[in-house]
Amino acid sequence: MIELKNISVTFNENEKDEVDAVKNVNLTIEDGTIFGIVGYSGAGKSTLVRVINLLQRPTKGTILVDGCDLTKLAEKQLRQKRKDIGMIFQHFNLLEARTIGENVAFPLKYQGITKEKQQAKVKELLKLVGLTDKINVYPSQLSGGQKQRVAIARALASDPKILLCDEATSALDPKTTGQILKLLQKLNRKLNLTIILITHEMQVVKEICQKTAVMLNGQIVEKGEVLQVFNEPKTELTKKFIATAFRQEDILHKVIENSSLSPDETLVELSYTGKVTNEPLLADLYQRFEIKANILYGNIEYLQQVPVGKLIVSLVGSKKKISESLAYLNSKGVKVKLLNTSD
Amino acid sequence: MQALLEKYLPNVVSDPQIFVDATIQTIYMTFWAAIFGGGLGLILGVILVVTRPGGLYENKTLFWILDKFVNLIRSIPFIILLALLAVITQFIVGTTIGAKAALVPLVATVIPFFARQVETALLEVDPGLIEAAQAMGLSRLGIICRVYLREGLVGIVRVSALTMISLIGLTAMAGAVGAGGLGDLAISQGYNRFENDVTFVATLLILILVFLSQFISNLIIKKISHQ
Repeated sequence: MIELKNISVTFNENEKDEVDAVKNVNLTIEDGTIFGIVGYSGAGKSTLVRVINLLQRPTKGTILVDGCDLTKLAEKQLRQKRKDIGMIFQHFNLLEARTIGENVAFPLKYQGITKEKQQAKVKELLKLVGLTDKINVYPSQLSGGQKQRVAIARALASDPKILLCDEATSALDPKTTGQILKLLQKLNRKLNLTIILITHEMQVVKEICQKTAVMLNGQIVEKGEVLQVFNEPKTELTKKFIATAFRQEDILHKVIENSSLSPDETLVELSYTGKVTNEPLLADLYQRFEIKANILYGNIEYLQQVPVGKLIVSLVGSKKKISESLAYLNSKGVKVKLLNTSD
Repeated sequence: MQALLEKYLPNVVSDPQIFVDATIQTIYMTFWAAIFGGGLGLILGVILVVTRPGGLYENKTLFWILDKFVNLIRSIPFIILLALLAVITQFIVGTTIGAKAALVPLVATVIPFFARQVETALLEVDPGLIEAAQAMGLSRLGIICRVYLREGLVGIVRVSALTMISLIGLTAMAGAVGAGGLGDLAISQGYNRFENDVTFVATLLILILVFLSQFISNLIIKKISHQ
């Protein structure tokens, strides 16, 4: 378990300008979870993730990894502890002068491990990330996704319990991002690896994280289970991030632009989770309230295997019936948001 | 052929042995100055990289002193350094004349020159690699040896060739203290005695040494570069 307590990081560029990169952050990350920290660039998430392996010493606060306070360790003990915390980076940071095999073996050298054992470990790791055939190739000959796989193999060489991912997919195209995320998910399940992942893409959080925290100006403004945060975002920032993950904003604009609403039409957004998605709600509306619903946009996403649905519909009917029907939907656990009414 | 050489290079043909001696002296001075100056310059260059703000062994005072020291020595023209260091040379070598005596000012000037070049080459090493190595739990000394020097090796070889070529040029000036060598030959015999063919052949030999250094370094770079 990782516990960050009252972490603050202040950089003083010079005596006058102090920059609070991280302000009073408290975070607990359970073993075996994939935890996503999301925020715009400059939010302090890169600094925060570097506090976890003490690449960045906090100005204030303590870091407990399995109960051990890292800030109290001497350099040598800290180095030992860092072997339990792997890290991968946005730009992969592979050693260009060494082959893929040598890169993966790099953390194993000078540790009193025999050459044979090192080689066996390298082969095992390259197999795990699916790059067995590249062992004697240099990094410059690999694609971005392959480089990140090598970086992952290297980070796992010392059998860490924790893997820190600093914008690990930000330099990759969407398809490769998906593959890397799948690999991380596999490692999380297979090795019970705790993964802390920082990103500016909510898509990434949506894809594999169980828990998430949203950062703004060095502070955590929202945190919790991914499902809960996506369903009931509390802050505007979180809502914005979620909208990007569902690529909703764009579509919404187009839908509203292109729909010529007649006076008795009301445009609403319906969002629902879990088993409500299995009920024929729109048919219900017609039967009970004689409301005709026209679907303009619909989408179902799966968060942690739970379906989350979103519909944009225009409802045609009398004002009274519409408000009754919306109340009914609410009672069924559907969240309703009026987008614009005709008047 | 013989007649042609005698016609155009009369002084060269009459005493070819002096060119062999001078070449050996130039190589002697270049070699030993490169070994001592290069070794110490490499160490100084590494110290400059790791003590600078944000470096592995950040030490503002030491960095400031070394940085200014390097600038200071590099600002002094070599020909003046020869004279300035005469006392120290006398103390170390026992004489101020000859190729051996010229080594002291040569080494003294190569150290800061090479250190600055090494510093620049090592600063080219991606800071992300240093960070990755730290995250892996490497010691600071481990990072210097296994990341900086290894990843910066191509850069170091490149600046070594540059230093070598510059050093060959400096040995020519060392002729001023009677160090011998090709430069000395070109000036004291070729120029002063109006034996232009001697100057010409001495220059040719210097050029061959320069091209050879460049050629060897290019070969090495080709072998170790994987970018």
